[in-house]
Amino acid sequence: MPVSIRQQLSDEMMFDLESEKRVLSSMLHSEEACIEAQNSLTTADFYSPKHATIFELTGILFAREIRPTYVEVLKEGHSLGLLKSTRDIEELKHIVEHYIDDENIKYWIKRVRDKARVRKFVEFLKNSMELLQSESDQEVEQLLMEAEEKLTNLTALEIDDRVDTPEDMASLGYDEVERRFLRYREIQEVHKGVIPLDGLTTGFDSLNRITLGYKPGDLIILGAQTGHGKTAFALHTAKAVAVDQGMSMLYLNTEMSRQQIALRWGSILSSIDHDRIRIGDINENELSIILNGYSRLRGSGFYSYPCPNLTPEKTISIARKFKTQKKIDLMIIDYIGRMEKHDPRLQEWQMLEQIVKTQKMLAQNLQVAVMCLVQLNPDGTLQGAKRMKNESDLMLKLSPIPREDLAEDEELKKYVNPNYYISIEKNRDGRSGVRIPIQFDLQKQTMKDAERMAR
Amino acid sequence: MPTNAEWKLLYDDTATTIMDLFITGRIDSGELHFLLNLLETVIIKREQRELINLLKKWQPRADCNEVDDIIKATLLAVDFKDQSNLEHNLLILRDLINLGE
Repeated sequence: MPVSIRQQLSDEMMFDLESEKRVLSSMLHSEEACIEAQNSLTTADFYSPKHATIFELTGILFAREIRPTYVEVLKEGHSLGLLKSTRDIEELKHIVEHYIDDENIKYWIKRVRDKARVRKFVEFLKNSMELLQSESDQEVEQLLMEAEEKLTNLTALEIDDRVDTPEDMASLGYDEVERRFLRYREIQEVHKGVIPLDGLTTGFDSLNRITLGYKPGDLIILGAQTGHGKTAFALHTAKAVAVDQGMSMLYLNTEMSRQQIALRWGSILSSIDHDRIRIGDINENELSIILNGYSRLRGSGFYSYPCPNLTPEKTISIARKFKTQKKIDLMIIDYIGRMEKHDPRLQEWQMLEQIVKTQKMLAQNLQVAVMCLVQLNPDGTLQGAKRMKNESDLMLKLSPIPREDLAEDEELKKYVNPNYYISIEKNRDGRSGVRIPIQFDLQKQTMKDAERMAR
Repeated sequence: MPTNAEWKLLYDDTATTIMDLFITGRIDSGELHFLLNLLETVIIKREQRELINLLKKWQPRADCNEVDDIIKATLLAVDFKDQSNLEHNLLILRDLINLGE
């Protein structure tokens, strides 16, 4: 009787219970560890069924926004009938008590994942061996081809990558064309020529028409000089997405306090001057209008996270948490120039480039739209602009319309009081080099499309 | 004051003891949930000092089992996540526990 592959391998090679315990223990003590583990591991990665159960329970609690403490895991385990014996409880207690360590969580997660990969590889070898033994008269070429495909799939899936075959590409292409063909017909017949969006509304009809909205996986960069409406643009977008459409989104602000953000909303939702709200110079009627505005915010999908010490790593963990718990479709970072530098040797533009790259990956991995606000130089240029442009799907600039343009530009004269441009510097899915005139009311902190004059 | 490590030890050991009581059939499901919720509230959230003080005062009486049964039923009905429910039940508990003084 030949010795099986499994028998030839030591337990040490196949699993690492110590690492599994450390990962679980970290999850029970630290939210950061919980986010990291939930995003990197699956229940099947745990060798011990008890560990898999504990991981599953923490995942259920985390998704419901309940901190997975020892007691909460016990309660959830009890209600699902998963922790039944004194031994189960002892195992859990052992993990809780003896393995508090979240500083090296990535290391322990990697250990658990690597062992899971080894087990999958062993499974592949075992299946290949069985196939070899069962078919005495097999086609060798076919056998090797199948084995190669399985092994490639195993590796490709592990590195979260995918190769499109010619068939895949052809099907995808046809599906996309067919979808657009049907949508175009729908536009003509049902929507009477109004184009439905592919993604989230931008809050501007003109920008919607050109971009078809902010799509999942998109990185949008919005540049403006200091004091020229970055935050107003961000909150205008937030209002359109989270208040008017009720979608969930996360707003990360690196320089404003909670109170400042909350006060800005008062103005945006009531159209009452921000300065008057700030100093309290309002009458009772206006107070009631503002109150009404806040009740719309209360029922919206706007989640705010003021974070003066934001780092690229922190955005990843916060975004993952909100994607899992709040199902966000959009994240806005206001603004990336204030993010903390980890490496003092990096130049400002290198740092920005690194942040933008991270955000693009984040957008694609989580399938959310990510908008980064950046500060333009006084001359309207942007440091590292070329590199940022490469990474982004949509690059916009917000700037005041020069007086001479207002006086001389015949096209602008067709609009009612435009005062700002949104310039589309790059648009992966459509036209770029376009300037959209808008009205930006600095006092009310509101923005809207500049209306065309009646003929 | 106990150190953080001592609080943690107390929390872990108490949670395990409560769960053991349930598994060995000495408390039922309702009692299990109440005790675990109480533990979480008191040690992790550091809340509900008044409830704890009331419970310390509660001495089961030999002469009046009915009052003790009502106190227990009221405790099991406490919803720790609902502030108004909690306040309402605290009022009842205060009256019931003070009855025996």
